[in-house]
Amino acid sequence: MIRAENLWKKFGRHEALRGLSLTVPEGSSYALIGANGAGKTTTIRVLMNILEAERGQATVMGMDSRRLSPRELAQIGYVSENQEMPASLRVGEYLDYLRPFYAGWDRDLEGSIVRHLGLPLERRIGHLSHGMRMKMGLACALPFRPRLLILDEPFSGLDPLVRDEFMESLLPQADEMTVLISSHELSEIEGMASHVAYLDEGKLLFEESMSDLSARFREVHVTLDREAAAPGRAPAEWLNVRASGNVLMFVDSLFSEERLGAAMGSMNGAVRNVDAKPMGLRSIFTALARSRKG
Amino acid sequence: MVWHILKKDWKLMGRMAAGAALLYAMRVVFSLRVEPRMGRMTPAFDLQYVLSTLSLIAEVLVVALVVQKDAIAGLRQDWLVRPVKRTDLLLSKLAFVVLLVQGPVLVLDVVEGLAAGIGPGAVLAASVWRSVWMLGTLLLPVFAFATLTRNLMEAVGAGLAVTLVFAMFQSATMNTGASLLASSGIGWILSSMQTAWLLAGVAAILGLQYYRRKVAAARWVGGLAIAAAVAMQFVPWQQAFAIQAKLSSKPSAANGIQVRFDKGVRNMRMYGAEDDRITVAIPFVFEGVGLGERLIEDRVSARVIEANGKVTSLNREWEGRSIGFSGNFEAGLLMTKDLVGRLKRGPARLELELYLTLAQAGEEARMAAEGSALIDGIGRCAAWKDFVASEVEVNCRVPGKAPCAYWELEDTTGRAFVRRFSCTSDYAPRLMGVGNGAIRWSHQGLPFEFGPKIGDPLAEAADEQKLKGAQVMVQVYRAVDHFTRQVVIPDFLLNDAR
Repeated sequence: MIRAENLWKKFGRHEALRGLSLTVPEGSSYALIGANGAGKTTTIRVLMNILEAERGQATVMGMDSRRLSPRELAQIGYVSENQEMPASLRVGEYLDYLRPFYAGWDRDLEGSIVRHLGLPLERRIGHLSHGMRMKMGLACALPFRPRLLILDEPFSGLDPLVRDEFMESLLPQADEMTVLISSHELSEIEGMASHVAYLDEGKLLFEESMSDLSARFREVHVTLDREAAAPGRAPAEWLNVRASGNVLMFVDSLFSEERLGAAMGSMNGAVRNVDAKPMGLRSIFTALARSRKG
Repeated sequence: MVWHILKKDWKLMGRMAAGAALLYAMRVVFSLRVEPRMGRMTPAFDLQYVLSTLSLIAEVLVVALVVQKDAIAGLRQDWLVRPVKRTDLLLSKLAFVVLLVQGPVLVLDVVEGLAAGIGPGAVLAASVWRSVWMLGTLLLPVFAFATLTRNLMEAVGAGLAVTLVFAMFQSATMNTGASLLASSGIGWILSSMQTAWLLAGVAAILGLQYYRRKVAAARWVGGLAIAAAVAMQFVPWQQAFAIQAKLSSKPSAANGIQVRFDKGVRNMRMYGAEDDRITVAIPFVFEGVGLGERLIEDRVSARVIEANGKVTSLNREWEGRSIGFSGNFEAGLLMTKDLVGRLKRGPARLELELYLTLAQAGEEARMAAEGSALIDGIGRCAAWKDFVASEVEVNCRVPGKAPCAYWELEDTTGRAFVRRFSCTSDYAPRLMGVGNGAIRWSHQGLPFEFGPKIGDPLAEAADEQKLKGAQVMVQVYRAVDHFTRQVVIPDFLLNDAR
C-alpha cells in the first residue's frame, strides 16, 4: 500500500529524515512510533505530498506520492492534530462541503459516526474543543470508506473517554482498510497495530509485525547467587543492562529461549533464577528510547 | 466544483466582501451628492475619497483572506489532503475576486455614471476598463502575493516590507531620469509595461503555487517580478517616446511643423536661482501649426558642448507644457552657476532635442454659464458663476480621464472674453485614466475681472451685462501626432542674458 525508499528531508540545517525507508502492507494497521522529532509527522507529510522530500521516493497506492491526484486522495482518509479546518463554518456545513468531493461518501455511515462521536452539527468548528476537533477530523475521514487511513498523532491531548470514543468509531472499519498511525499513545496503538515501525532521528530502526516484535522483546531478570554486576561486554541485543543487589536486569531485544539459556550457561553456574517477561509496546518503546539515549 | 468551492468561500467571506462593496456604495452615494455648484471642497467630495480608500483596503484584505482560506503555503490546510482539483480551487478563488469583490464595484460604477446623466456606452466602457485595470494592477497581484504567505499577518508584514523597499527606491531615484518618464504624458507606456510584466509574474506564481506548490521558487519569482517592474522605470525616454510616436493616430500631421531658436523674439532670461542652479529660458518659434491645432511640449533634452570638448547634459525645469497659439516658446534649462559663468565668458554648442505632441481640436460645444450639459468627449458638465472667486466654474463628471480642452467664456454676441487651455499631458488611451471611481471629477475655472479686485492678468474685465447670458464654449483636443525636432545653436552665449 505504501512504500518509501531512502527519503531525505531537511529543514534548514536540521535533517528530519535521513534515508528513511518503510513498507506498509495492504490491510495492515501500521504504527509509526518514535520520540518527539523522530520524523513521524514529516514522513506522513511526505507520503501525503504535503511536503516534498529532497531525495528518495515514495509510492502510495502504487502512485508516486508527488503525483497524488484527486483520484487517489478520494481514497485516503487523513486525520491530524495539526489539521486546519475553516473555523467559521459549522460542523454540518463542512460535512456538506466535503461530501461532493468523494464519490463513495456514505451518508448513513456519516450519520452514525456523527451520532456516535456526539458531534454538534450546528456548532462552528472554531468553537470546538481540541477533542471535538479530532473527532470532527475522523468524521470527515471515514464516511467515504477510505482504502487508506492515515492518523497523525490522533490521540494527542485527548482524555481517555474521548480516546475510547475515537477508537470505537474507528475500529469497526479498521478491517476494511490499511491504517497508518503515528502516536505516542502506545497503549492505544497496541490494541490495533499489526505492524510497528520505530523511527529515531529521521531513520527507521526497525519495522516488523506486532507479533514478531512481541516475541523478540523480553524483560529479563536474572537472580544470581552473588552480588550482580553489569557485564563489561554484554551482548548487543541486551538493552539497558543494570544490576541491583544480586539481580541482573536487561531487555533482551532478540529473545529466544535457546540464546538466553546459552548466555546464562556462560555465567559459570552463578544463575539461581531467570525470569523473562513479555513486554508491552510502551515498555519496548521506553527501553529502546533509553538505550538510544544511553 | 468551482461553484461549490465558491459557495463555501461565500459563507466564510461573504460578509467581508459585502462590507467592502458597501463602503464603495457609500462612496458612490457621496459622489452623487456632490453638488457641481459647490465645487470640490465639500465634505461629500472629501468623504468619497476617504470611502474609496477604505473600500480599496477592504477589497485587498478580502482577496488576501479568500486566497488564504485554502492557503497554498503552509502544511496544515485541510484542502491539501482532500480530492480538490487545483484548477477548480484556482478558478473558484479567481471567480470570487472577479464576481464578488470587483463585480459589485463594476455595477456601482455603472450606476454612478448613469445616475450622473452620462451616456450608457461611455459609462459601461469606463467602468469595465476600470475594473479590468484594478484587477490587473492590484487585485490579481495581491491574489498572487497572498498565495506566497500562510496568513494575513504574514501577508500584511511582507506587503509592508515590499512597500517600504519600493518607497525607499522611489525616493532614491526621485531626481533621476527614471522619475521623468513615470510622471510624463507617456508614463502610461511604462505603467502598461510594468503591469504586463507583473501579470506575467502573477501567472508564473499562480502556476507554481496551485499546480506545483513550489512556495520558495514562487517567492523568488515574485521578488524578481517586482524588482524587474521597478527597474523598468529606467526604460530610456527615447524608446518610450518612439513607441508613443508609432501609436500616433495621424503620424504625418506634424510633418510641416518647424522650430527655430530665435533670439530676436525675446532676450534669454535667467531666473529661479535654486541651490547651485539657475534656469535659463531659451526662446523658440514654431511655424506650421495650423488653426485648431496646439503643440504640447513633452520634454526637452539638451547638452552643452564647450570649446574644450566638455559635454554637460541639462535637465528641463518641468515637462508637459502647452505651447501657446502664438508659437512662441521658452524652454527653461537648469544650469549650474559654474556653467552659466563659463557660457557668459565664451560660446559653446547647444544641442536640443524637443519631444512634442500635436493636438487637434474637435467640434465646439456650448453651454450656458449657469447651466448643465452632456458634452461629447468630456462628460456631464455644470457651470456656475462664482462672484466671490470672480470666475465661472465648470465641473464635469468624466468617464475615464479628462481630455485636453480649450475653454472660452463668450458674451451674448459670441465674443470670447476669457480663454483657457487645459491639458494634463497624458496620452494614455482615454479609458485608462483610473481614479477613485470610473467617473472622475474635472474642474475648470474661467476667471473674469469683476469689480474692484486685484486682477488675474489672464482675465478680462467683465460686467453684469457681459456675464448675463454668457456661454461656455469648449473644444476637446486630441493628441494626433508625437514627434521630435532637433535644434542646434552653434555659438550659444549668455553674455546678454538678463
